[in-house]
Amino acid sequence: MKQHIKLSVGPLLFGWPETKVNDLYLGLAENPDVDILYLGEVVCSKRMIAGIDPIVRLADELKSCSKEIVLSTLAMPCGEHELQTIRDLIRAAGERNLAIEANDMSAVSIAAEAGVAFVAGPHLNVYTPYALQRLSTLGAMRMVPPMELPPQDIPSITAQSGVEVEYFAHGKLPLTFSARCYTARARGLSKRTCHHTCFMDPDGIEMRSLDHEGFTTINGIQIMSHRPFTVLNHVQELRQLGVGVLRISPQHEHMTDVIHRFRAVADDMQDGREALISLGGDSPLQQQFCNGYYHGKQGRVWIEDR
Amino acid sequence: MLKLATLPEPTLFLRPVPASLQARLLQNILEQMLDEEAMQRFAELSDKRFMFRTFDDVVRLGMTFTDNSIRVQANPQWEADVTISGNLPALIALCFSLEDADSLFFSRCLLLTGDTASGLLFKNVLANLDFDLHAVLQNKFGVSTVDALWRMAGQAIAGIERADGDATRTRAWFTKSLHLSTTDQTQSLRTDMNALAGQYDAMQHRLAKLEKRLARRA
Amino acid sequence: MSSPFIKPELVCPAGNLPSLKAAVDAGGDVVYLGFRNASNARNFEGLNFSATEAQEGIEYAHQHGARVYIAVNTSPKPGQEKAWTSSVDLAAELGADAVILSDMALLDYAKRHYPSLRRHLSVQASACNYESLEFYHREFDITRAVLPRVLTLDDIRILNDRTSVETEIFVSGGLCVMAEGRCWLSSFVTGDSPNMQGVCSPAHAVRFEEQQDTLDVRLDGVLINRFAPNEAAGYPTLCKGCFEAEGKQGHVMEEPYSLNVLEMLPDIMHAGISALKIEGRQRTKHYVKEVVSVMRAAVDACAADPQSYRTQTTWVERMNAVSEGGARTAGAYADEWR
Repeated sequence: MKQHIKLSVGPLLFGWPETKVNDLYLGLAENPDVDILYLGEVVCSKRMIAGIDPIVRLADELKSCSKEIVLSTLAMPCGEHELQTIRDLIRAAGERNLAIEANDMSAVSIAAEAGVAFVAGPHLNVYTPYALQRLSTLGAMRMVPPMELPPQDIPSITAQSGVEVEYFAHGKLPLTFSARCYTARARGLSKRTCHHTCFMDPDGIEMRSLDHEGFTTINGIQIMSHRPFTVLNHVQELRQLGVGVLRISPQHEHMTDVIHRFRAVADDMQDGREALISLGGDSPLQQQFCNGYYHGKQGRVWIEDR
Repeated sequence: MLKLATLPEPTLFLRPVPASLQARLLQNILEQMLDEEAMQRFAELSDKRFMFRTFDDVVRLGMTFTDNSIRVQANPQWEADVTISGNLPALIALCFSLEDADSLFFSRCLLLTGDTASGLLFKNVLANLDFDLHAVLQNKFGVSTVDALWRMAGQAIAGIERADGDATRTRAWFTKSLHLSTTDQTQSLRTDMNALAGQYDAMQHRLAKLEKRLARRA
Repeated sequence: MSSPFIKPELVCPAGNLPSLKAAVDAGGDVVYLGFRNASNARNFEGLNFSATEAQEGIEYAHQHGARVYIAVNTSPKPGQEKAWTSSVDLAAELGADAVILSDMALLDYAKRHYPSLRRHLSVQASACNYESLEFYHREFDITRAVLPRVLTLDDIRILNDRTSVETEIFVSGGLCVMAEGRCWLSSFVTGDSPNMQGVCSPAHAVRFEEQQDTLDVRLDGVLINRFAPNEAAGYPTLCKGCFEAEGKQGHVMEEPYSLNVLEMLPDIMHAGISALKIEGRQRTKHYVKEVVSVMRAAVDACAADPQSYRTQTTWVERMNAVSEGGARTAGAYADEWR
């Protein structure tokens, strides 16, 4: 009997207005294909215009749906204000018996102290079995490996601790964090005077090389891959490697289509490659997606694999 | 810091020197420079062909690293894996670690094309040596010969300076390139060099005055 | 709010033995180095120290009153932990004054086996607030942390007030604009990353190509920059390249300037910072000598009399001469940079 693979919708990495965020998650609440929902801001504290209240309210509204709700926290809290945001979210999670996603050691530290369980997010950089084990004793119940980690390394990292593994399975890859806002910079603004310009780009802004090849996506203080990453055609292999959850990262359109196909493939109702082709449309797969990291190669390439 | 690219390209002095002699000279000096450990590290380059060439192609020297030895060939016919192009002073500065290699590349005095990783290994192995060019040349050619050569080189540089009209810069480069070790010999050489250049200035001044006097008499 | 005045120590890069000696001779208080393998984040061809060279380097430094920190700041590959832990063993054996670590596995190993060997948290751990620093201090007894270049000087001053962990900041050299340790741009383009292979923008992927009117530089085939015939060129570090966004071409992420904090030294000395780190293990002894001499003079001058400290033009000129792109920016330390 094959292990059931869960599907999660990861934290929204782009800047969307509150109404659009709510629409996404309230819609997903009714979606039978999804098991876990991550709410919260990972990238930029300036996007939290009304603080943590909208996130907590949304979590409360979703309480009655049958999904596991996790509150995600900032990857790079640099100042007291941002640390306080994390503390407040952790307290709110504790009060509601929810876990948080920790993307910085400060969140791990605060969560451990508060006795709140956490998902070790991809930005904690867990590359070794020891690191995972240590985090597990501090309260990690699940981990998302760093995007660049080859999946073959996953079993040896999780062997001792038995922590559930969630693999980033679809969406533009987060690649960096910076103090500088690149969206603002591209528009002649600065982080301080940004006027939340990133809200204009639900999937980020394109960055190309001087010879016009697609290179990366600008998303505020984060740089992402140009094309979305996908392992829709490698679900079975990931299951063999012990992956228990597949993460789909929110994108502007076609979320339901993507989720539906992952569910079908995970339940052995559809062949992965066929599902991917039906998802993609007319252009060749290598022009639409990248999957180098799955193969332990350069993240930006697409490697054909039958 | 002096930009080497602004020195007049001295390759024209090399035109009468046969390429085979250039190759032999470079090979000899490098053999003196490189200790056993450096040769072992160059073993990683045993299947690579290097080409060192001046931008004007007057100098074209190939280099290979097989059987624990270095071999320099003039005008090789094969295609190189790594090509380092530059003006001659910059190439010399790279091979003998006389100046910061990266700055030479940044300022376009040198260009590395082909297999960058092998070029980088070459540069880093050389940078690892605490090399004293003067001592090596003395070893090879004898103390008095080298001292004489050094003085001649100083005069040549002074000559170039005269033609170029900017004494301080070139002198600064030359004395800087001698500042590799703190041996007494190098120190006294530097003093000699500066004194020489100073003597040339004084001589030039006296000559100019003499010319004027002669002109007036005539 | 002002912190006590501290004269920070100068921590200088040594990619090889001649550079180490140059740094010590030029007045560096500390040199930092790595071994010749993937256990450190500057794993370039032909760079770094063998065990014998490291021993000679440590002896030379100690004889001249300087200290040595050894970086073992990448993450061990699963199944190859021995290669990394033996680097920690070697550092301890050779008498290093501290090890610079980022992965928890090595922090734990060093703490258990060599409790009296100082453990410094590498910038690769990307610890950018006092909560993280205190966490690593509690769990692994770190005594110092190198801060990623994402904090302003004000942020750093406040952070220092809230933690007992010493802080060390980069003050010169190649500027990393992303949070170190959390940047996967290099593996995205080339397949090699600082955390796993110990390199960013590795040389094996670099190609300089002379075209008709330009010098193109590519990383794994991706065009990173294009230089006009006499334009100063640079190494194709990904984030410093020239790209296109919103219909404009330019340095979308960062200009290829080098870091220069000479103007900020008085503020730095009032921010509770214990050490100033000079980047540049991949540079030659000539570079190291120049930069360390300038920083030594500047730090000494500022410490002697911070009120009347003035940046000297010769210092700036000397830094510019050896710095890629010229030493022109204070980077993230200044708020406007964001």
